[in-house]
Amino acid sequence: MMSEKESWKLLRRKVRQGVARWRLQNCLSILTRLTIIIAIAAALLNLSVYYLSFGLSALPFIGVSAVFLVIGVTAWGWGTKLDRSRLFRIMDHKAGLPDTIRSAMELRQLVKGGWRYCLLQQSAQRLKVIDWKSVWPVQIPRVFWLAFFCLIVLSAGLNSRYQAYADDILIAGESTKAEEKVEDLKAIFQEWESRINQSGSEEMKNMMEELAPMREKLKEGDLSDKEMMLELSRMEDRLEEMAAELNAQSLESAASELAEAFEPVEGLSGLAAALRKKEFEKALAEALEAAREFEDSDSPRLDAKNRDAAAERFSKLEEKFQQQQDKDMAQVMKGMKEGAKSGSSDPMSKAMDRMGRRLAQQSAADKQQQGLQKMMKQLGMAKSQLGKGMNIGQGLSMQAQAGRQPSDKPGSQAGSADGDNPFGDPTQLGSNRVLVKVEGMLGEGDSETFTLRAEEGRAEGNSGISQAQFRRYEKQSQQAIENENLPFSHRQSIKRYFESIRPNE
Amino acid sequence: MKELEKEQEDKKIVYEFNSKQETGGERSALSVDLEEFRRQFRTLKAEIQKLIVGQDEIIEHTLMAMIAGGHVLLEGVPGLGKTMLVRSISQALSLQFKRIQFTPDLMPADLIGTNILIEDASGHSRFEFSPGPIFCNLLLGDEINRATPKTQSALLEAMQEKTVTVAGETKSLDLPFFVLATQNPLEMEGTYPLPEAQLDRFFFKLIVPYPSEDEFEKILDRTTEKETPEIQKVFTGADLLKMGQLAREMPVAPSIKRQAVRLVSATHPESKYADPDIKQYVRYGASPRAGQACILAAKIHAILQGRFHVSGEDIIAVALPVLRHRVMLNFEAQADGLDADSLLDKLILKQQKEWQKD
Repeated sequence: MMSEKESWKLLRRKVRQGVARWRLQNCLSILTRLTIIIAIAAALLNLSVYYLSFGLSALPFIGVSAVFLVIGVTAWGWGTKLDRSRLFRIMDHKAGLPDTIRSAMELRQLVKGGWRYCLLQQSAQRLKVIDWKSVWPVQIPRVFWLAFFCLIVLSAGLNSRYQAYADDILIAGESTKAEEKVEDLKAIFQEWESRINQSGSEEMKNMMEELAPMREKLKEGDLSDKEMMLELSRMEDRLEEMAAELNAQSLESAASELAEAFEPVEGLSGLAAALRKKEFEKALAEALEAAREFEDSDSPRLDAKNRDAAAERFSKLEEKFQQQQDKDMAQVMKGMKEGAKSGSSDPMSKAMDRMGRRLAQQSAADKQQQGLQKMMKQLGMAKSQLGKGMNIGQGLSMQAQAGRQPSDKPGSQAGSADGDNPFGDPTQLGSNRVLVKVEGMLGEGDSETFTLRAEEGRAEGNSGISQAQFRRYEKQSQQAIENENLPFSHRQSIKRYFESIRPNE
Repeated sequence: MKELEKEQEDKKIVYEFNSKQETGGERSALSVDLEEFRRQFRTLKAEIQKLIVGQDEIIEHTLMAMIAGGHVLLEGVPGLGKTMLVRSISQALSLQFKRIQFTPDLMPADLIGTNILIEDASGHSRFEFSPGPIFCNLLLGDEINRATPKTQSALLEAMQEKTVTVAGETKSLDLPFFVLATQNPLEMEGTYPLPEAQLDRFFFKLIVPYPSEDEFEKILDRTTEKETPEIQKVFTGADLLKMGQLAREMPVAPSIKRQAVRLVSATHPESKYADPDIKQYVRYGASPRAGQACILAAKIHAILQGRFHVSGEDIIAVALPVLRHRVMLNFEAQADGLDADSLLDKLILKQQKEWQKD
């Protein structure tokens, strides 16, 4: 005979086993129901996809939701707090006991003495022989396997359909990107046009006219990525040529020599300083001022002892400009040389007048050069973004986001160049030191700087594509064109794109 | 004097039982008491079955009702042994038995007694109460539905409070007091259906069935031979009271009580547990007395099944005799030829399935 304590322990152990059994059954039941529901949902989705042209954009969302649903419902099923009385009733029913467990569990606290002892002992004795596994077999229902099999088959169908859909999205995305690129280029050309109209440069206007066919193609959307890249490269070459021409006529390389030559002449120290600093607008004002001054006063501008040396310098510069076929400057140097030799102000006045005109041209050319540099940068950026597959506006905006507004001026502190040149211009030192030319080891005079540029590679990124891959992509693109509601221009773009990347047979 | 002795004896029995529970041997004592309960029940049943052939369920239910202190209404065609059953019980229990043949002209005073004028030897007259047949332990009300409602109502107080009031004076009846009434379902002419209040006071209503062929044969054997079996006194009415006391101590789980409440509530057409059939055919459902009877009878049933607790099965087992006379059907049910048993059978079956549902 068991004591009351032993009876209670046995009863509790059996009840715990029964509860675990119930939880297991509950989980399986929920899992089965869930599988059936998902299988039905998958079947409906398949039907929708194949027969009703249902959009598949929600598929990933549905997939993730289903996973969370399974986790949530399982947790809910396992954690469901069942009414104790009902649970004991189920256990009694499974064990074939006439409410023995229920009465014992409910009455344990309510009755005392002999009744409680007899009740617990009788319940324990009856439960002792109960093996839950045999009286309460928990098995996965057959309908679960059926639903599971259906789910696998239907999921496979959906998956293949979704793969095709994902490729469609890719193609459509590329098409959209191309359209955005075109829009960005159009905006750049428009900006150029307004700038050129303001500057009034004939050469630039000619260049814009050359661009007209390409712009027309852009408007029609009749330009592939490859063609666009080629056109941009060609345009960049053209801009570089123009910049080189402007560079060739620039006084910038000879500014230091000119400053040295003008410095000994009385009344030209301001011009010399401006030239040394390469401030051509200031130099222009100084030259015109000097011309007026020389015209008004005929007093000699050079000491007798310096005249020969100055004449010699002007003579050398005359030769140099003649070699460079810069006739204007050669004439200026000639006038200065004559003035230096004779000590008369008149030739110098004329020379300064001519120098003023030349400096005015130089100032205009500088502005043009700056404009060209900016255009080249924009082109370079556009090409770079095309190569990366980003749209052009995005690249430019990224620069703005970094807090660097495009500027032609270098920063005032070391390492803080704020121009759109990623390497930055030379740091401008915040002092009044005179810029002195450093004599290097390689010889006298300015050292020449060459920027070597690699030749633009041809846009052949797609040439590696195999015939098989191409056919697959082309087929998918055709399906996308047929199935998706795309604008006509996009369809044309897609077709042209695939034509342009078609590998050689 | 006799009454006083009886009362003292009853108290002694109860005291002995309680002291057993409080002592160290209470655990085994309870088992012994319950075993004794079952043994006495079996003995009593066997004794009655010496004379009554078959009718197992009727005998069992009648004894259960008597242990619970309730009254029984037996319904059956003449000749099925209803009166014999009651007489046998009275003999086996050594109870004071009286029989009243209910007739339309029976008056309440014929039942409960009356004050009569008596003249003594000195010539003085005084009123003396002359007790009626109701002053007994076991009253057989034969064909109770033949008396008028006025006479039937005279039983109300006796059945519920076990007292009788005559001329403003309340007199207690001897305990135990049981009314076992019979009625004949065939002869409806000149009968007065029992009022609801009266019906409700019956613990069980039992339908006495016709015996099977084997049982019929045995009845013939026992009643047509030279010697008829004699019923021996098995135990007294006090033992019956003791059994009732023990049965009332049987614990019932709260959820089982709730099941009983729902079962009784389901007989009410306005209840949310009611079936569509109940809603359609029932005029009034069972009263709370039905719940009390259900639980009490279930407790006795559980003891007889050898359990220390009441289960849903016990309630189901006693539900029909408890409920069948407490559910009042409407005219539509009568028109459709339905009786309370058929409706309750469906209801009980449904409740049973619900209780077993996972």
